[in-house]
Amino acid sequence: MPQFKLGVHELPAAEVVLVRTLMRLFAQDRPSRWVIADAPPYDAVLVDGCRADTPPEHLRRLCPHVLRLTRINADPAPDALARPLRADRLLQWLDGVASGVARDTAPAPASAPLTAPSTPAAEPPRPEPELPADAPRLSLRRWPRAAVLRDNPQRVRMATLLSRRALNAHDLRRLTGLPASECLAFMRLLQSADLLVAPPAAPPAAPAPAATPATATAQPPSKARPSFTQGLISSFRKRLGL
Amino acid sequence: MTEYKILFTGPMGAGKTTAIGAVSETPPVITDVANTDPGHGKPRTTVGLDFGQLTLATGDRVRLFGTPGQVRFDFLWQILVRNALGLIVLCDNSRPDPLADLRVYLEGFAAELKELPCVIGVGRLPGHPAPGLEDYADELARHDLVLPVLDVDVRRRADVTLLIDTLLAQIEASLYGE
Repeated sequence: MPQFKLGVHELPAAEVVLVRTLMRLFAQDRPSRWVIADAPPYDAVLVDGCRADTPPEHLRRLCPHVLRLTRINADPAPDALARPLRADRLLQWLDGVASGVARDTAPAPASAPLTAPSTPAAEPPRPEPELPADAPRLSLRRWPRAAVLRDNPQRVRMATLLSRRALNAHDLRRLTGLPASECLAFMRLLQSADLLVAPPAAPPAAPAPAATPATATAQPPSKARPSFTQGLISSFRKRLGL
Repeated sequence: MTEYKILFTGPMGAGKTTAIGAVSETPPVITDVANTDPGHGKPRTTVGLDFGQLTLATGDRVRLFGTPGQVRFDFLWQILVRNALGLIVLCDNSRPDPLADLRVYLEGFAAELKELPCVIGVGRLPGHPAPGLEDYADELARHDLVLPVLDVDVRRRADVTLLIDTLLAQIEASLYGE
């Protein structure tokens, strides 16, 4: 998950705490991850719009994406957000900035030189957790609620895999290619919602049945079905544009 | 070249024909006639089976079959489901008892559902929020089934694609470790 740096300028201390809490709360569920930075370079900066109508010039030089927090019922503006601070609107603005930063590979214009590159991050990314391959494998007890899946196709895919077979986070990462942190976080979320269950212990091996004509009909249904390999699955997904 | 098959089933008006049309590379062959059933407001209804297809880069083909929705055609379901890759059950949440509709298909395909990948797509939820997706999951649990249940609008290609992708994910899980 890409990480971006958010600066705060002359905001009340309580508001800084609120913004920092929101960034931590939504760190797992957003397409991009924002962290509060104490010093530039910033990818975006929040300023107190009640103290100045326009951001100070040095801020404009430091960061092209400035959001002013204005007084309640202030006139709307693309670079302003009226108080009280609404998490959904702030996150919507940050997602938009993140998308723009990810797309923008052109050098900064000469009239507003940046003192630091606009791509993330002086702060090193959090290392991905190690996922032991022999961790207990669990499967879904029932299909998760919409609030757990949040219309997220990656979560739907992970839940689908777990509905079919007992897996651990290591298996999920191998099957989906998603970051280890996402796979682990989702498994923990499902566990906290009491949605995962360990498969029943395998029964002791029975002696091989005598070869009789009757055993020929005891094939499981899947053996009669056409085989569909991982390569065909990839080809099918490509055909669907996935 | 190998041919594979995905089956779309569900009650009349659930959107099977529309779903196939949303992803088929060819205009789907539609076997419908004027609807003479006064219990349904549709002008036309499928009486044979709808047919679409997708050709993969490997040259293999995936046929998309839609079953007729009325229960009196259930003899066709057992024929059509043979050797299918997966089953997509489309439900219409605007019908009087969508969970009873679901039960018809869970029971009609009970033997196959022990192994066959399957996904439930629930349409018209925004305008008819009850029963909710959790109620569908509860119904599945009563049949000892854990299957994906998704809120879909089959007029949107992305939603139909998601339904097919969940079938593929189930196949992937089955293949994992082999």
